[in-house]
Amino acid sequence: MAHYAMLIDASRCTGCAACRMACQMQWQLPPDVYFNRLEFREKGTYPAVKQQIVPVQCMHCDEPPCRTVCPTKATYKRDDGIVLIDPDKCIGCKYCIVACPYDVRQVNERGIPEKCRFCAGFIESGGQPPCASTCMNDVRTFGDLDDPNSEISKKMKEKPVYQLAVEKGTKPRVYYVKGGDE
Amino acid sequence: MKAIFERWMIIPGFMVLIGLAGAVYKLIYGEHALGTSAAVPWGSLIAGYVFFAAAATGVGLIGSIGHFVPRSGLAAIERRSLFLAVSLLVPGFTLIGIELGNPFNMIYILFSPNFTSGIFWMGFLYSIYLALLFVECYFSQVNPAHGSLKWIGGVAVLNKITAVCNLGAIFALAVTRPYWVGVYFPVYMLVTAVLSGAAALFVVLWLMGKWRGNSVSNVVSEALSKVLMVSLVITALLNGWKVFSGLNSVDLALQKATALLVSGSLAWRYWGLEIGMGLLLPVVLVLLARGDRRKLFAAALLTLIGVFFMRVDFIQAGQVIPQVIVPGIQHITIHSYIPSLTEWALIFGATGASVLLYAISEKLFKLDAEKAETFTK
Repeated sequence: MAHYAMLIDASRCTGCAACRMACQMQWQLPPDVYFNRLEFREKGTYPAVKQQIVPVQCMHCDEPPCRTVCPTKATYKRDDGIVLIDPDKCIGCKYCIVACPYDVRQVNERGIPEKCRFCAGFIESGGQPPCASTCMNDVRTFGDLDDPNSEISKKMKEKPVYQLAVEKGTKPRVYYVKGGDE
Repeated sequence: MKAIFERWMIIPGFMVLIGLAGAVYKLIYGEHALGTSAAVPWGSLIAGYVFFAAAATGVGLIGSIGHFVPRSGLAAIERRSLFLAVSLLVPGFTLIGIELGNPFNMIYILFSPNFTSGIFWMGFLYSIYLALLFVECYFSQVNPAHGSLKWIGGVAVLNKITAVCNLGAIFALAVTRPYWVGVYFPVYMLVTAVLSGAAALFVVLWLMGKWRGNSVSNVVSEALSKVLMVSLVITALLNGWKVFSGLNSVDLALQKATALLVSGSLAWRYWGLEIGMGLLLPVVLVLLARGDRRKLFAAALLTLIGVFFMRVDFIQAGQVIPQVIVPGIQHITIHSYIPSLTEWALIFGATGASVLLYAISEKLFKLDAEKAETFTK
């Protein structure tokens, strides 16, 4: 069984937002709905100031709070680790939005709080999520952590990584490369 | 008297029409009709639902005191409390049904229940509450001395306490929202449910008494004003400690949310409507009343309005402080939330529907207790 995850090297991000656009094209999202975003932060003190960009999206947590709070199990986790929403079961209570520590859900036109799907249904045929394949600087690496020969497995062996908001106990599956930008 | 009653009913009837207009607008425009956003997903409709559901529970709990403690002086309003609870709960359910994105998918609460979800338990416990209320209302009209009413009443008390505490727990278990997390909200919800229940009972009894040309009896008035006073004081104490602990917390999000209420952009509503109108003024009025029903009515009405804004305040304060997702990002703004006209229309409509439903119950059913008096000439 695959164990999908994503590695993000934020230090390589230029902030072009092509990842967001590619995702919107892939899922035919309206302009105001997006499944990934860029957070900007400043580091250092004048004159040695640097702007850093951190891409944020659904972390496909191993302990997703959105799944815990969903009253109808509309939010579920597949065996390969991808967290998805069954729109037919969703009552639109928005408790998952309230419970998400990463602020990644957005209500669509059908009243469903949507989010990144790790491109489920597309990646099984060998494709890469467009947010990863579009990136000119290889900021994102998507793959199977159970496959030791996958690119993500190799990179994660080489580089120390960190995750966001681990103190919430969510066990996120999106990892960030350490390197002075965390 | 009949003419006065029918003339007054135009007001809640008009409010229901405004609510219907809001419901149609929400149906057409969905989320765009609300002031909520991805950052503040829960708004005044959730606050409204909490207000109605908690008030219905409080009314029911006060009725239960009358049922199990006849000496309390509340036995005379036991039947009225049942019908008022229904009249509050049904508009509350309607309100949340309109707020939900896909209310018809609620059927999956039965077929695909998630026992770890507070909202599942809320749906479950409040559905049982409504069912028990219907059973109790039925017996109160058909066979008030039916033996099974004792155990139904007992089950109902447990149901009411768990339902209203769970309502608080929905917020208390949202680990991403420090202002809500902890034991405070389940306890607060129980206390403020009784507070709003006592206030709602006094308001409708006074109004119905006016329309019937009677006044609320001394026994009922005294008993209700005691419940009102005690719950006002406990609510004020809880509120004070919540603010004190929040301002002194090491959790910055909790500290900021509390400061927002006490001295930030929500301060006018917190001090003016929630504390001034909803707690202090009612306490003063109850103390000065000395049996004056008009002062007690004013205290109860102000309490009800204040409790509504308590609900809006705590729901908004819990969400408007941005979460710290990426370490090092300092958010200097707070998320904005302004209730839309549609939301106000729906709240108005639900309030009118409550009054209308209860007034219809007064007309159609026998709500006076067998032995005790609710009203005096």
